[in-house]
Amino acid sequence: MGDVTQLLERARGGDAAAWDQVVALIYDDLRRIARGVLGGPGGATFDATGLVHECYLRLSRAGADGVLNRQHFLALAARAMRQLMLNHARDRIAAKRGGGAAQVTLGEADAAADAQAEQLIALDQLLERLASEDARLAKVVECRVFAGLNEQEAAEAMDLPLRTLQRLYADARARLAELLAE
Amino acid sequence: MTNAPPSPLDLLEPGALLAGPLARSLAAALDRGERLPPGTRLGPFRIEGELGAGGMGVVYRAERADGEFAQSVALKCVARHGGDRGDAMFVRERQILAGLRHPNIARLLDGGRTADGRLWFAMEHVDGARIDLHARTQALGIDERLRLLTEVADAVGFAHGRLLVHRDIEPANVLVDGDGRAKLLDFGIATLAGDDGAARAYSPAWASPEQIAGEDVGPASDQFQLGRLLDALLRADSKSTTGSTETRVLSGDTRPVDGDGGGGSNANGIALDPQCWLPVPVARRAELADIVRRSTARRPADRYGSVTEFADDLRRWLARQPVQAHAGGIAYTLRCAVRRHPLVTLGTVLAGLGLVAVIATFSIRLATERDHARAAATRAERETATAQAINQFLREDLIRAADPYGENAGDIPIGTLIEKAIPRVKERLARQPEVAGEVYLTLGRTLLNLGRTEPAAAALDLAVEQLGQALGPRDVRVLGARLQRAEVDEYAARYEVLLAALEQLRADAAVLGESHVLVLQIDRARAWQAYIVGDFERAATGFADVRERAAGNPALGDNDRAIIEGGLSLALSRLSRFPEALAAADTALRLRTAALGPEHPETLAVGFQRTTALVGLERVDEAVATLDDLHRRFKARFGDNHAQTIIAAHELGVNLGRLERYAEAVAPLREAVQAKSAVFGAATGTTMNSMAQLALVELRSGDPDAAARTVAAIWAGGYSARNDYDRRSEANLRRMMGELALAQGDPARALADCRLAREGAARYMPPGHFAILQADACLALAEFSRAPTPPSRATLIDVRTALATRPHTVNWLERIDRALTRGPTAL
Repeated sequence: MGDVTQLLERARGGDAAAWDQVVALIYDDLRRIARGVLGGPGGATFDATGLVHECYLRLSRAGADGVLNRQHFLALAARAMRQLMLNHARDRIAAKRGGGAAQVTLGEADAAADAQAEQLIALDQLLERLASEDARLAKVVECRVFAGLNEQEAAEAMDLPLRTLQRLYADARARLAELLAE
Repeated sequence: MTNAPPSPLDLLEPGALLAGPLARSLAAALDRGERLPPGTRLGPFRIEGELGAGGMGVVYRAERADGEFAQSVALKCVARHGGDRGDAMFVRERQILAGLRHPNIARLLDGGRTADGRLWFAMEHVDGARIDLHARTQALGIDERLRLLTEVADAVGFAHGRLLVHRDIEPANVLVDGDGRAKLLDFGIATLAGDDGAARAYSPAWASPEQIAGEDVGPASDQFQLGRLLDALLRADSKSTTGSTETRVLSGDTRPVDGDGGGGSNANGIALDPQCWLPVPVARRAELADIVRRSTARRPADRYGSVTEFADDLRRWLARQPVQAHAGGIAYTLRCAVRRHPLVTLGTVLAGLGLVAVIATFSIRLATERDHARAAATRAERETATAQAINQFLREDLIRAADPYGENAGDIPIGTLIEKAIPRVKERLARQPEVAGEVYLTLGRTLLNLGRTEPAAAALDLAVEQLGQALGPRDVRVLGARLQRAEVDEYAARYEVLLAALEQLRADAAVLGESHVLVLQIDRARAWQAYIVGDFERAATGFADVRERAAGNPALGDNDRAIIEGGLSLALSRLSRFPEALAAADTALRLRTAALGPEHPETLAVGFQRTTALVGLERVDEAVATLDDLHRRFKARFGDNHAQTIIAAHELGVNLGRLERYAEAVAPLREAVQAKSAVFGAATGTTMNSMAQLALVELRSGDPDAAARTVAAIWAGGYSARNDYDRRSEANLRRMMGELALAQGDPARALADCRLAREGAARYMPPGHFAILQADACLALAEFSRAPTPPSRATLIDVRTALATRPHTVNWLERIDRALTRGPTAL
């Protein structure tokens, strides 16, 4: 946990590499927690927010209290969730193209998941372009879409007034639509 | 179906990604990451291999390995959700599920927890195909498909009767075995594994609107899923059940299908397109579409009252009878059910419990909705917690006593169950006094409806206490609870206590204003109290006053207004203001019909107010026709021992007697006596009253021996008058005994009884009442029989003259004439 603390310090100081490393660490933890929380009967809804909060609690219990700022953590976790979903989407598409081993399929559910996987990969590319124009806009989308944060939570995670966040999110959507149309 | 290719921006919609199929697939993939290798032991079972895997985790084939006996099971291993309920709770619920035995439900055999905390369930292994695939590969006709679905619905209804909800009905959970029998899998697994028992555990693609909204999920949610399954089975190609329809459900988009798709939308979660269905004649297809629409209505309240009703409608369709999908009145059905209470069998106990749960949840939701101050999120949480606590209370403390596989198997009256469970409410809801109060209120009302006044009083006292603790003593809901508590004293005939309680309540509620609904209800109760104690002037004034103030308050419903008019009508009848009484009864009838429909028991009951006025107007023939009709309807609906049936039987007998149709009057009065003895006890005033009337018609129909036996039975039962109503009835009894004594040739005893009758009638009847004249007639006959002197002869002739001016007095006149012409012995 020690390195998380240090990395967080550096990430807060604006160190982009440290940021990425924290995300990677959180990613692993999310995966571990998700296994215990998800995959319930009938595949319960994906309670990303609950997941993120539990992940935060574990980290803070592990001694990152003073350093780990909950708001920043939410933004980090959103990034990790995005990565988690994206990797899974890529796995699915790879499997569909024959790369995967014999997978027991459910037919309908799989078709729907594959369709969303394609959508997500496309969205991810749009977000990359958006981030290169304005990183804040991409982050807002991450918080709302991937961590399932509501407007208030997202505003806290990004240290923004609620009105600003609402405006940024609207801007992000508008810009994404333009990028898609190009 | 032509759709625009999905846009990546669709994922920006709330829930589209995290509640969607990709997230579900991720969850499953994470879960699959930890498969159990063959040979793993879970409880008494050993994993043999995998049967399949998918969205819900991995299903293994397992064998019993403890050497007890050979058993092959399907074993499912699922992750546990966030929250943590005690293991003891899990074990108890699992036991209840294990007791769920139905030919169309795959039984839960065992369950437990793996070393790493995941839950496992061993289920009856069903070797079969998914219902939709089976229908397609076997090319089943529409009737065969519906029959399969009816089996499933019956199984679900059976479980609902035991307060168990499936929550996750979808094609993958319904298999058809080698014998062509539908088997529902995973019953209760969603509940067992879900942390809050409510919203989370379900397949998003098949979720009901309330599941998607994260609201409380009950039997109506299962019905929604059955409706969707029906739609899926009706499609020529089951594959088309997914795709655009599901996406719409998930994204909350409920716009109707565009274009000319015959069915269109039903303002609910599914976009119906009967054009895709297997071929059915158009008219029958429309009926089927109505069934699907009704069962999948967006609002649970718009669906069928129960899954059983849904199944019944399917059966009607199969039998080519008209379906009920159009008919409304779920609330009516519920209300009828709650009245059908006496001599409860296990089945009705369970139905009753379900009803308590429905009512409790409903009333709490209403109360919560009034509470604008709290945020919506808190509200949802509280509702879930509430529903959970109540369900736990019902399941643990009530239903276990009625468990057919438990120790107490057999018929237990619902009242006994509730009484036993009452002490547990506080334990269960210790930290939620408001909820505890509402539960006490519901249980108290139920007990009162069941005629258990003392336990009802205790429960309602607790309701007042708990609600007062939560809301403060002057809260309108606390005052409302006090009103209900006061009503118990009416049922228990403690009229002075009732009056004191109502006066105090009126004073405390005065701040609400003169036309507040609760204040009007309190005043109505005060007027009714006056009526019961025989203060008809105060009653009439009170009702008229409430009526006037109620006119200015549109918040007061037609039903409340009808009760006021009905009370006014009765009071006016007692004051012999019959034309006004009839007018008020007619108004009550109109209001009831508008509020509840013409066939509703409450509407029918207004018939009593009308007949009272009609009798007063001496239109007894009309009254008898109405009563005969009411008696038959109530008897068919509620059975012999229901209050309404009893009143109808008694009034019918009495009025047939008034028409001097004595022989016909015997049967309904005997029925009334029997029922009253069973319900109220033999030694009560009301039973005595019916017995007195019975003895009278027995005597007049020429059977003095039967009459003598009936009279003997009254006194043998230990009857003694307790209030003015009793004393009024006793005047009738004395007159009847006087007539009997005359018939038995004992003028001395007849005279004594007739004097008592005359005294009582003069005291308790309004001046000019027919009962007084009859007492006079009886007294005159007795005097004349004992001593046929000129003065007693003159008195008798005077009475005869008075009687001759009234209708239906032939019997009296004949008896008097016999005495006058042939001497006293001719009686």
